[in-house]
Amino acid sequence: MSYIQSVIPFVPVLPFFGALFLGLFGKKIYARFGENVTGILGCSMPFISAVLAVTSFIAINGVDVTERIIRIPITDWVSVADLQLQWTFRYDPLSAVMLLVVTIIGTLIHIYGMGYMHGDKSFSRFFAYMNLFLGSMLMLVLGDNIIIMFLGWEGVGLCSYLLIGFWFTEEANAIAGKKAFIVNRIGDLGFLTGILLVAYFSMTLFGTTDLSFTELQSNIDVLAGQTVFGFPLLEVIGICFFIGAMGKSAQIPLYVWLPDAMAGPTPVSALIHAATMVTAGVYMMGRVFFLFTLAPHALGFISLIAALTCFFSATIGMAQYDIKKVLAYSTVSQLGYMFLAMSVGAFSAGVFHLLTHAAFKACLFMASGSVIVALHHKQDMREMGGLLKKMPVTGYSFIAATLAIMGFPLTSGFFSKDEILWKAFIQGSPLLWLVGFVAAGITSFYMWRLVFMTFFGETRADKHTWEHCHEQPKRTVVPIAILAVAALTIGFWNVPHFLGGHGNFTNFLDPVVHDLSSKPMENYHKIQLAKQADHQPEDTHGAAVEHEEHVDHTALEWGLMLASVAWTFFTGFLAYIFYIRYPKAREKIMSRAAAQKVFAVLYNKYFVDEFYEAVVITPLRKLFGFLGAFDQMVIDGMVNFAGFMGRITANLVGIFDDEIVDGAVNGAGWSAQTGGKGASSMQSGRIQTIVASSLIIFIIIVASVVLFLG
Amino acid sequence: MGLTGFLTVSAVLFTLGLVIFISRKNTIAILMGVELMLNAAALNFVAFARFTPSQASQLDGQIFAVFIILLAAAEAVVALAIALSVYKNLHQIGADKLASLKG
Repeated sequence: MSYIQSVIPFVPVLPFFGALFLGLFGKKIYARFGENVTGILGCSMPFISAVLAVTSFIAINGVDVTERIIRIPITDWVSVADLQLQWTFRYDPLSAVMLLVVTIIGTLIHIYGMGYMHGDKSFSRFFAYMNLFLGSMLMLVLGDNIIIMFLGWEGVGLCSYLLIGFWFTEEANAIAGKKAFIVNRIGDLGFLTGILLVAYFSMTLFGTTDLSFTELQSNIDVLAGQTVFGFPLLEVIGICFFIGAMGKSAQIPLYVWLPDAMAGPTPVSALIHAATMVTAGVYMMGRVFFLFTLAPHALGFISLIAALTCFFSATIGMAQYDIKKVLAYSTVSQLGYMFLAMSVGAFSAGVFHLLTHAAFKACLFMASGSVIVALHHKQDMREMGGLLKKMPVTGYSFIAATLAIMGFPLTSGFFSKDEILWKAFIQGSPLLWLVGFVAAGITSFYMWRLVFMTFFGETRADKHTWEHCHEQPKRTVVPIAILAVAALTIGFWNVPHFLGGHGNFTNFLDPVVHDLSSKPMENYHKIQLAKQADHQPEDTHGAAVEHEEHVDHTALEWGLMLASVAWTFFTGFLAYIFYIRYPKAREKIMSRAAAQKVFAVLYNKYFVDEFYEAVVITPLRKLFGFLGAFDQMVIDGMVNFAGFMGRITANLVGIFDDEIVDGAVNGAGWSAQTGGKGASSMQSGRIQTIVASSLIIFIIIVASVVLFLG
Repeated sequence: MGLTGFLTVSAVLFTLGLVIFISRKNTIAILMGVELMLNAAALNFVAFARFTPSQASQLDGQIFAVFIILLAAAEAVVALAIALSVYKNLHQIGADKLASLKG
């Protein structure tokens, strides 16, 4: 047993244990020992998990590259005929990265949560849910087969629902939770369909199957030849899986729940709805990248959705006033970037953006939460401004994270986003690049708008709030600052070749996740050709072509990079002009009717919610109303009639029972009783009477014998 | 004197016993009536034995009579003991009063 094998099972189990413990005894502990003890208990399990994750990460770096996929069987799970599911955890570079993200950010946010939830009466419940979430997320990440992953997938969905509706006494929050849950169900149905397809074909084709990713990867060529309803199987599974990802990772058209999910406490928004859970879809795609490699049409579809999401949610972000809503749309947009990377076969770039995004977006959310608490739970940016002086740590951390998300050179977002745009250009199409490029500028604009409206200029808060506004305690700001530093520096893990780096992150992932080296469609054909040439496609990423193509791209790469840097600087500067330097200019533009119309459309999120309300929800309501009426009239009528008939029959039977059956029984009883009474009166107890009567009877008998027989 | 004379005496005796049994209230008297009826039966046995044509079983009736006398003695002992015990406990021996076996 190596170190990794012995500690990894504890990583997801500990938070589950913490959730159980806090769920059962949290309230009593809170009442007895107060907030600090409860909070420290809540943070301890994530902290231990983080320590184990970090040490395992160090350990796996010492393992030989070929042996970096470590499967840790725990026990058998489902064992029915050909289906042999096992509880097995899989620790490899991909899950190692996710473990780092989830546990470290999770721990920081737990600590931050101690400050944010200060004084809340459901303090212990909050930590119980957060621990439960962490456990589920770690299970999702570490699961060796699809079923365990799905279990974690549903677990995080549940925690998301519980935590969005955490303050469920307010109806809006409860509704937001419900919305998230229901929209996610739609996605999960797709994911489940995909899983069942995989399970079905695995069981019919391979005999015994354990549905593990290893098995799936080794058998993928067999599956590639299958069709379902005339469509290539892998394309269908790919689309199904992506529908699951659409729900969980908030892509068009299932993104509508994420902005509403901001009803939950801010630590929840930071952990679940920015850093970890919503990236589960990206992680899942990375996990089954080999499947998508053989499904170029599915990837094309994903490209389309990702680009649309990336662009449209960014434009909505420009027109929001709620600080958390801006960040929420920003998250949707950034998730679009990740899927864009995945869809052009740049799997490692997508995962790397996941990593950097987790850092800077968690930081942004936590800092915004800090601001919200300082302003007594005001979220409207129109009532903020000038806060940098009052809250320096929060403010500068926020600015650092904003630099990262806009892609300021040498920050983390710069490396990850640039990689994605480059891959979108070279392996997707220049059009995809253009959408991503424009969205990057919009990102920079709305982020700086947010910064300027919140931290700079004159305050628009009322006097009382402004005077009481102060920097948050250490437990709140230290995690923010740590993440801000991470947001600035983490990008150096994956410096691309043309900037003199070695793409270390890509290399680190290489044992499990191979990027495509050309456009998905071309790559697919190449594989097909290789298959026809000889039946063993040794190198599925076409190394031969790689060398020819990579020669003269450096200039283009530099060019695109400089273009996007210039473009983001320009839009950031535009925000500066509009919101700080010349607010008059903005007002002038906004006073035009056309501008106001555009703004109204953006502010109302393209009326998508209203569209869904009209197209999906209202017809469904009507349908349900009709079904309800049908139910009441026809079905209930039938049931009631049957009941009525039953009652009448029962009454008749009851009468029969009372009168005849009971009558017979009672009559028998009555006659026995009466006969007994009569007979007992003969037993007078007077011996002389008895003897006399027996004498008489004797005489009668003798007399009758003599008279009639004699 | 033939068999009829014996049987007549026996019948008279039995009837007297029966009438005493039914009519007297005193338990002791009732016992006496019982004795009379027993003796009537014994007389019948002896008389039938004497006048039976079979010589082989001439003593059967006498043996029955002896047994009946024996039985009467034993019965008298037990019955008188009961009568005494009843009198001790209930301070009376009137047969019409002793009706606790009433059904």
